[in-house]
Amino acid sequence: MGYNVEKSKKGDKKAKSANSVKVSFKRLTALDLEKRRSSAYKYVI
Amino acid sequence: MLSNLPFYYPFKSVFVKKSPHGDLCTLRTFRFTTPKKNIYIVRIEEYKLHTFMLKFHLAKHKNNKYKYNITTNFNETRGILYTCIAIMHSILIDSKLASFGFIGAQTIFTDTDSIHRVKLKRCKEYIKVQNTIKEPMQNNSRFRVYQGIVSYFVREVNFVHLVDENNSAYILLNKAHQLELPNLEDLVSEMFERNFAPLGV
Repeated sequence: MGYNVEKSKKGDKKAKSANSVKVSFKRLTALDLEKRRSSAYKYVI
Repeated sequence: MLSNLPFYYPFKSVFVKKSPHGDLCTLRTFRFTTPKKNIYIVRIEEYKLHTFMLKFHLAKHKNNKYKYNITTNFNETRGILYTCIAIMHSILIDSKLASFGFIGAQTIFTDTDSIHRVKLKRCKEYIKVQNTIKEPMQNNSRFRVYQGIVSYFVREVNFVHLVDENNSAYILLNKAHQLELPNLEDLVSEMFERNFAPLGV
């Protein structure tokens, strides 16, 4: 929960396109979440 | 969300600032102090579609350009993350349709940080860039911890969990809002991409 977001300057379209990142979200199923919960136990206790 | 949270630190809202630019609507800042007397700042950026992005950093790192990338080694991670979840819950009380998102920042070590440099011997995948050593963005250590905590405490009854491991990004999509707006997932993903383009900073 934390990241640097660079503010792009006006007219800096070239720099913006060079930095652009494609995001692709995957929906977690109940089974995926259960696996993550069991591996997260060490952070929670 | 809060019922099974073991504990959290008392927090207070510091200020709320309206932003008329682009997709960003409001910037809220919260503050809390840990038992070790470390003060943390939590920034909540509210975007369109009731989407709230969370960021936090140590208050004394406010002017450090790597404030989100520094590892403090204070061993207070659980308390800090539980407090962030409590803040999310407080937002959810006010905004029932709220969806949340976060990105795990890559750890960046500077050359002057000798303690961390010792640890680097075990981190062969880190990349040396100019005077810093960076953790790769993909599925980074912060993201692994954050997603574990979030998947543990935020149940799928109320939220759809969306992950992008390549960019260490996570979205909790509000199911109540999705009922009203069936293409919410696509809209939020697009907005995410539009506003968080330089993820690999």
